[in-house]
Amino acid sequence: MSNRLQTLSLTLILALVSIGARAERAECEPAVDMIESNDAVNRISECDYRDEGLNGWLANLGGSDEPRSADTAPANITPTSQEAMGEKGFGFKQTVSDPLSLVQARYSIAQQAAARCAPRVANLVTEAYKSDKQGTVLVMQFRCDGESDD
Amino acid sequence: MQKKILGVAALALVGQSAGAVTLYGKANVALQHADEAGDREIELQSNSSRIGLMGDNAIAEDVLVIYRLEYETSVDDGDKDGQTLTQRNIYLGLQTRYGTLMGGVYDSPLKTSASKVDLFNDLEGDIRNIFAGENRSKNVVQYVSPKSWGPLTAKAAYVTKETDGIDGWSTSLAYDNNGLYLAAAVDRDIEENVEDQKTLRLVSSYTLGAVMLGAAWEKYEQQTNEGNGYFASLQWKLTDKWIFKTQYGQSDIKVEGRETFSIGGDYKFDKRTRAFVYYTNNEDDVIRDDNYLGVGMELKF
Repeated sequence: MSNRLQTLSLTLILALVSIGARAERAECEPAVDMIESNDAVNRISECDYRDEGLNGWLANLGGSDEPRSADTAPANITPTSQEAMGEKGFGFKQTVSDPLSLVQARYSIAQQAAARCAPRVANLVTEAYKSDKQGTVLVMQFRCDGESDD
Repeated sequence: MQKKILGVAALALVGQSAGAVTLYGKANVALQHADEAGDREIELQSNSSRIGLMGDNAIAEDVLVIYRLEYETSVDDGDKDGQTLTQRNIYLGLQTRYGTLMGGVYDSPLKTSASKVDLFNDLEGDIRNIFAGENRSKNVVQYVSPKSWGPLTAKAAYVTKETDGIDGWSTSLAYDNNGLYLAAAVDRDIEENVEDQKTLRLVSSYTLGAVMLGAAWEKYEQQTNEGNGYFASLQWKLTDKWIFKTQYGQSDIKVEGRETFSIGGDYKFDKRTRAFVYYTNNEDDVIRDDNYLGVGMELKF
């Protein structure tokens, strides 16, 4: 076994020499690996597997007309709440915890604002970010085209 | 045929109607030459192939019900302890900003603390050859600290052992940040029908570029036996496709003078599919001198 320890040590030295060659790109590993990790219960919301691999195949089975998960509000972020903004404006906020949920939250809020103002145009007045224990709170405030403060 | 169509339709419903449900699993099969103390055989092995469902359901702001239902299946002969599917990790839990509380059948915090460093997990070189504490306990209530703790994850599990009347517990505290992973874990009376069992495990790993180094140390005690052991592993991503890995461990926890050595490599076709080759030697001063040479394939989803 001492030879094996020497083999391990030699490999270690060779590996250390090559360090720095590449940096690991942060991305979601397969779901089966994520759920085996030590902090799995806190990582479930980090990656959206609904369109990945077999889940994507099942979601599209039978030619479903339902939108893909990337087009819908993320299921595991805080439900949208609405905030009043003056008399005529309106706003939304959502807590996001990763880049994907931020993109999805922005799309979801924009969709809701456009629907609310239709057939007029929803103008984005402010977009703000606030730190929160759960992550980052995205706040977006809108005004329908033609509305004013007075 | 009709049954197959119904089965696929049921799976499709799982994939479509409940948005937060994720179907996951892996099929891992290897063909190996086993030389177990001179008894030589060619074997087809299913290495903990599994299928599971996991997901969450928001019941109020900042309150999620989470679940996981996971089953093992044997790709090699379809028989796992006389059944087609056997239960693995199964739980139902409640997640709030203060943490997650869950109940079910679950890997102990001490077991999951070493998941990063065991590079030949589920194969003949699995860390369970030399370490105690690789327990998946039944009737477990477990708390996991919230994500807001950042790089720290604390776990505490209470095992209501209904078989021998002696309840057990397992705890761990782990730090995971910028490639550095450190964990300490303690078990007490987790094993069934074993008195005064206590296990202490320390784990560390460090990833720098393409290289990950892992190490673990364990001390085990019970009424009639005690021992300790150590373990070291190295993973080296040679290219985007090729991974070299090796590990070595020695302990007298299970048998006096037990050693395990594994060396092997992976070829990654993509993120989910890999082929692998391995050589493992498990030996001790009493009964074993086993060698395994195998080649296999894994598909994850």
